[in-house]
Amino acid sequence: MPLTAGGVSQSPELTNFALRPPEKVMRLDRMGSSFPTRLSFMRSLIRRMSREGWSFDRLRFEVDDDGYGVSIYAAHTPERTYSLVVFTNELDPQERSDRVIAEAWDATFSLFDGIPSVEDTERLRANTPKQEAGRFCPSELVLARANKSLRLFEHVVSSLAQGRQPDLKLLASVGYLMRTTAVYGSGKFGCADREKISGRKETRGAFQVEMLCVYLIRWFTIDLVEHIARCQGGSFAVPLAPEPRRFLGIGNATGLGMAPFLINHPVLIHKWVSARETALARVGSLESVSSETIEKFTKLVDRAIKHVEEWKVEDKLQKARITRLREDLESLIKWTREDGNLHQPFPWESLYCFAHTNFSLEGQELAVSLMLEPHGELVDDLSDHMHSSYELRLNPAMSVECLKELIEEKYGWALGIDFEDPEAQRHFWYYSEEKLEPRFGNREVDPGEEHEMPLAVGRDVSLLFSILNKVSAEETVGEFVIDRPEFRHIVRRVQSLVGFPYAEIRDNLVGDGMRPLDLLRFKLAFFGASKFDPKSDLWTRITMFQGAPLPEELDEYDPDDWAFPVQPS
Amino acid sequence: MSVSLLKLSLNEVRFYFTRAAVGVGVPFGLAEDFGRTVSWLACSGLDPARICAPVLQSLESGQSSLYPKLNQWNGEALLKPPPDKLLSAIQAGSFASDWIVPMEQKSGKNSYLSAENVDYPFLVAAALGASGCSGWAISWETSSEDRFLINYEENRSWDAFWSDRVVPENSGPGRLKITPADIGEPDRDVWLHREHRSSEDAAVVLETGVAVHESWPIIYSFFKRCLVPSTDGSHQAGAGAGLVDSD
Repeated sequence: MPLTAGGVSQSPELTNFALRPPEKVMRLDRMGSSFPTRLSFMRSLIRRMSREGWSFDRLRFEVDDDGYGVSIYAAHTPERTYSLVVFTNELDPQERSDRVIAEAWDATFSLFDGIPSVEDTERLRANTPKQEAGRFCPSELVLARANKSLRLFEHVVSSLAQGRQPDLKLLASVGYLMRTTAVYGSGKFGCADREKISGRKETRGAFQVEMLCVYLIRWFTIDLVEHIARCQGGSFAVPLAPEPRRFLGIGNATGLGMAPFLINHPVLIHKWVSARETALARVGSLESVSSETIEKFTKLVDRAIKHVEEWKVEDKLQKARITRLREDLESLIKWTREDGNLHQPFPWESLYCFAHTNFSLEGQELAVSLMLEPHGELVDDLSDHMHSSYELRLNPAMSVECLKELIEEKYGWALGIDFEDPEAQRHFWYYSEEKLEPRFGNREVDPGEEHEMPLAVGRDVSLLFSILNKVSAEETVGEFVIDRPEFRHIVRRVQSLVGFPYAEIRDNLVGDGMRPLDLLRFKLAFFGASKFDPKSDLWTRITMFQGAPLPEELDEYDPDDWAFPVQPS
Repeated sequence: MSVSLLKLSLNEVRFYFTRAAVGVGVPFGLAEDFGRTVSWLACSGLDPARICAPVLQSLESGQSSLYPKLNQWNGEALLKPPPDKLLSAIQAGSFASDWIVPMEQKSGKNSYLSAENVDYPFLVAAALGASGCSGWAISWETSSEDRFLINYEENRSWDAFWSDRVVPENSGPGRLKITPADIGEPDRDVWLHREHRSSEDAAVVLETGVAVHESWPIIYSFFKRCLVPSTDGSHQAGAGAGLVDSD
């Protein structure tokens, strides 16, 4: 019998390895240990670019010797063109901030649907540099901004200007020339709604236009340093060598904005997790493995070991986790090389069991990512199932008794939390008046809890359940919510998510020890981000597209051979 | 025609209007339904701010109530506001959308729903449109005896009919009734005006944005009530990252 999870089915013959249950997968500590996989959105975008033979053009590069001006980069798919319009300008160092509340940036970007006319570009020149304070049209798909990495940008420019390649250790320690601090899509500030592009095959998948925008920004940053170096060094200047070019990713600083998204799109989250878990189950169900795949896998584990060695952070907790992860990977390579382990029946199931029994959560999740890597033919189709436009709907005809049973069955994790304990409701999520920045408040310290965002799913379910116990069991849900409209949102959520087991995060999202960082890492891993570099429990820096083939390399380079990139030798 | 103040995306329409409703005390679940309804209005080429501002103001002033009394018998339902209050179309619209679903599932098209003293009946019509119903009709009559009828068809299109100069979106409070749509053309002697709108309007909106006019500041002022003023502490640390980045 085929296993299914919300519409994603396993191949009928591959049923040995059960899907991991949501009560294991959808816990904050495991979500906060996520790694990108070959199903991640950056990976599927690069695969598509390569498969469909996308071409790329620099349409305009009108920047001065310091790199300030306007540029336009185009990506041509078989059916249409998308253009990145870039504005760069001088920035006072005191204004350089990763926060949403910043008001100026080194570079600002709009991803345009098509090729912008002169009038379009002038309109964007007046708006894109203002970011949230600008207004945009449905012809713009994404709005973004980035700041230079001061550590690396000037070093790369001066090295190239003097005719030498940059210091690879420094390059590896940062990983990018610029760091984006926001990438907005889906109708923000007047930009195009997702519905405008959700029917196109190249943008149907989740966050594909945002990923395309970031990929083009990466290309632009490399062009920019080479241009400034040429202006400074004249005939002495050299371009970046191919290996360090490819190793340069694009940075990102991510804060709390991602957290409400995860809670507010439960079916989409289910689809993402379901695809990954189904992929794992397919691989785990394989009865045997070829020696070619073993060789590929072993090389990949070796590469992952080096990648993790180069993963440097200051955060004490993450540092300790990385230390433990290195031990896990040493065990993994040893286990892999031991005679017989990968030659026994169901070798990947054995590998997963070994990891599950012996590794940290980070080690277990990295093992999952590694297991999927050599199995593109078996799992890549699942990336087509990682989007959703499903709307939650109330079922008014359901009886209160039935709703109670549903809560007991599906939300036992929430009923087990004592929300009478103030520590269980220590925090609240809210939008600040200051540029609508999402913030995580402490009820004892911060004002505004009356404007709390409705993200405390567990608490709201628990309260609903206690109220339902006082209502006639024969009453219908429709009658109940007429009298108690304050429960309408949570009733609708409970009813709608029955068939989506990975939709809910099975932890208290407002409790005293809750780390929003876990939510951020979970989402960023699905994007395909690496080198998570937490700066507090509330935000993290990451690297995107590090090691990915550049536009000029897509024809010749394996579009899938860039997982766990390592410093060029 | 007044000058457009702003063009919003549909995503912005839902974001701002949902929270504007919360800003006047509408519980979040009802406000989400309201946001969906407003999005449908926008897709129909109407200015959602102009239509919704009075709906929210009526709640704000206490003229309208979200808490009706419900009577049901034999598949028929009646919503009544509390004494001396109008019934908010936000609540009536959500209830009507809920009520229609099981009726359609049970093919219970002998049933009807009535609601008394609804403050803005057109918003209930929009809620039904947003729910995607077809084969149903909503009709209402105001105290000045203006009459209105909207029929919902397949593929999310709808026909509006009205008896006098007041267009449906401008009608005042009235008693409304939701019934299975009559087969056949409505009587032209009664319905002097007619307008057809279709889902093609939504495709236009995705290309052009949603124009909002002079009522937009009212919506935005209600929306702002959901925001928390920044303090020194939250400015410094509420989102984690430092204020200046020298890295």
